[in-house]
Amino acid sequence: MPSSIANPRSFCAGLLFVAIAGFVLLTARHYPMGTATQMGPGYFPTILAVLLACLGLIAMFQGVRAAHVVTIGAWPLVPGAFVIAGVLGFAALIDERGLVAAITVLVGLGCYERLLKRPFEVLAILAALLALAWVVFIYAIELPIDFW
Amino acid sequence: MDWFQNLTLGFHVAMTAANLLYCLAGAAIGTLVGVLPGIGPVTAIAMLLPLTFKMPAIGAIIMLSGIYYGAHHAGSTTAIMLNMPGEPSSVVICLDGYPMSQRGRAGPALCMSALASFFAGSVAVVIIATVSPALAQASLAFGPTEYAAMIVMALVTASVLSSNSLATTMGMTVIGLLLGCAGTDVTTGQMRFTFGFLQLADGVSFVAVAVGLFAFGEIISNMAHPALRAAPTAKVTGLLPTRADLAAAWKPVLRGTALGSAFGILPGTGPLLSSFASYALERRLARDPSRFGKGAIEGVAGPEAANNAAALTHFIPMLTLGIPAGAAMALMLGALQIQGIAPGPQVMENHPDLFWGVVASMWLGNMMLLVLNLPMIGLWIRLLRIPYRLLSPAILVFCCIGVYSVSNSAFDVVVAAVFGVFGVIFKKLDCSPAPLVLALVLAPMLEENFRRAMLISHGNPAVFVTHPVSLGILLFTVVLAVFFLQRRHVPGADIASETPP
Repeated sequence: MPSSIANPRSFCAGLLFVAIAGFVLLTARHYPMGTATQMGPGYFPTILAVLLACLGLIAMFQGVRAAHVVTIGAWPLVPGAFVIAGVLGFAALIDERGLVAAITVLVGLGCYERLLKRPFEVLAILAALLALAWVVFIYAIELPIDFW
Repeated sequence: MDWFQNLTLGFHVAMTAANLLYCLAGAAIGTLVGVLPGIGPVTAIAMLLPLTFKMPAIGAIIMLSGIYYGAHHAGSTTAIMLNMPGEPSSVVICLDGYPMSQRGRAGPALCMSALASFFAGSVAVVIIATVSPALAQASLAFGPTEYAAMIVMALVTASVLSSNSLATTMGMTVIGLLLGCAGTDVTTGQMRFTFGFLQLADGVSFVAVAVGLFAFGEIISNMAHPALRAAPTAKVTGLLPTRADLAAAWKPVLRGTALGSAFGILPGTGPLLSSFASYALERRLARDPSRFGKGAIEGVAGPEAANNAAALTHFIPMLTLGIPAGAAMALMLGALQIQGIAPGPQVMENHPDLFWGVVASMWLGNMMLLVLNLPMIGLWIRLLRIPYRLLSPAILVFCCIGVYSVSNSAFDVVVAAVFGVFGVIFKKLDCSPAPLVLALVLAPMLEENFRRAMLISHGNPAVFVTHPVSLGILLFTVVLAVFFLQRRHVPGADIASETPP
C-alpha cells in the first residue's frame, strides 16, 4: 500500500467494488442483453455492474484525496479462520452425521482459545447447548434434523 | 371511525392467549437482545426465524415485531447504566443518560425513558392505524413504473441516511442488487450467476447473507478485539421522576414522538437518525444548552421517544407496500413469505386479522415492555454480566441451525460462512452491510417492475419522469437526498465526536 493514500479503507472498498463489477461483467457477458423494451437476463446486471464500477472508482478517488488519515489495522485472521472453519464443519456434518456432531465441531472450533486452557468450561458450554438445541429444535419445533 | 373498528378487530386477535404469549416472548427476547451487546435485532430475527415455522402467521409476525421494538426499547438501558449503547440507535441516550446515573439518578432516567417510549409507541400505533389504510389504498393504483420508483427511493434514502461515505453505501446497495439477480431469471428462465450450483436456482438465501454479514462478522471482530465491558457501578434507587423532571420532559417527548414518527416511515436508518435529530433539536431549543451532556433529562426523554416511535412507524412501508424500510424489516418480509403470505398492499385486504392483530400487538407489547423494563431492571442488569465468551458459541449454534433450517440446506450454511468472511472485510473497510441486505431482498422486485415498466413504455426510460406519481416519488427522493447530504456533517458529526468510545 503506497503511503500517499490517506484513507486505505475507502480506497480498498473501491478496489473491491471494481473487482466485483469486473467479475460480474465477465460472468454476464454470455447472458443475452435483449433490448430496452424486451430486456434479456443480462441487461439489468450489466447496468448495475457498470454503476458499481463507477462507485468503486469514486471511492478509490476519495480514498486518495481523503482529509483524515485512517488505517485499516490488523486483520482478525486467527479467530476468522477458526470460526469460519467451525461453520463449514457444521455444514459438512449436519446432513450426514446429525446435530450432535455438527454442534460439537462448531463449538470446539468456535471456542478454540479455551479448548486447551479450560477444556471443562468448553465441555460444559457444549453440553448446555446440545441440551438446549434438543429441547428447542428437536422436541419443541420438531425440525426435520437428525439429532445423532 | 373506521380505524377504530379495525383496531377493535386487531385487539380481539392480539388478545388471544397464544398471541399474548407470542407478544410477551417477542418483547422479552427483544429486551434480552437489546441488553446484550453483540446481538442486534437483525441477527436475533435471523436466528429465531426457524422457531416461527410452526407458528401461525399472525403469531410469528407478532413475535418477530416484538423482538424488533423490544430491542430498540431496551438498548437505552445499557446506555444509561453502563454508557454502552445496546443498539446503535441508543448511542445518544448515553450522552445524558449515563451522567444522570452517575449522579445517582439512574432510576428516574430509566423510568423517564420507559415512559417516553411507551407514550411514543402508543402514538405511533395510532399513526400506523391511520396512515396505513390510506397508503395501501393509494398504492393499489400504482403500476410497475411507480413501484420501481418507490423501490429506488427506498434504496437511495437508505444509502443517504447511513453515516458512512455515500460512495461506499451506494456500492453496497448495488452489490446487494447484483446478489439479488443470482438465480433463475423470472422472465426467460435462464440461470444467472449460479456457477453450476443448483442450490442457487432460487437465488441466494437472504437469511444466510444476513447471518454471515451481521452475526459471524461481528463474532470474529469481537474475538479479535474483545470489547471492554464495565461492570454497572450505579445503583438504581427510586424509580419515580420528580415533578420537575416531568415538567422538563413532556415537551421533548412530544417533539421526539413527532420527529420519530415522521422519520421512521422513511426507508433507511429511521430510528437511528431520529434519535440523533431529536437530541440535536432539544439542545438547540434548550434555554441552557450547556446542561446537555451533563445529565439533562430532556436529552434522554426526547431521543428515546423518537427512537421508539420510529421503530414502530418503520413497519408501515413493509406492512402496507411490501417494501421493507431496513434490514430487519427485510427479514420480517421474508418471514411473511415463508408463511405463504405474499407481501404488498393486498395484505390488509386479504388478511385484515394479521395486519390489525400485529398493529394491536405492538401497543400491548409496548405495555409489556414497560412492565419488563421497570420492575425487573435488576434482572437485566445482572444479565449484562454474562461474558461474551459464553455468548458467542450460543450465537454461533443458533445462527447455523437457523440458516440451515430455512430450507434444510447445508449449502446455505456454506453461503453464510462465505459472507462471514465478507462481513469482516466490509467491517474493516467501513462498509455498512445493512444496505446490502435491504437491496438483496428488493432486487427481484426492482428488476421485475423495471422491466415491466420499460416494456410498457416501449423501451423509453423517460416513463419514470412522465408518470406524475413516479416523478413525484423521484423528486422527493432527490430533495431528501440533497437535504441530508448537506446536513449529514453538521448535527450527526458533532454528536458522534462527542460520543465516548
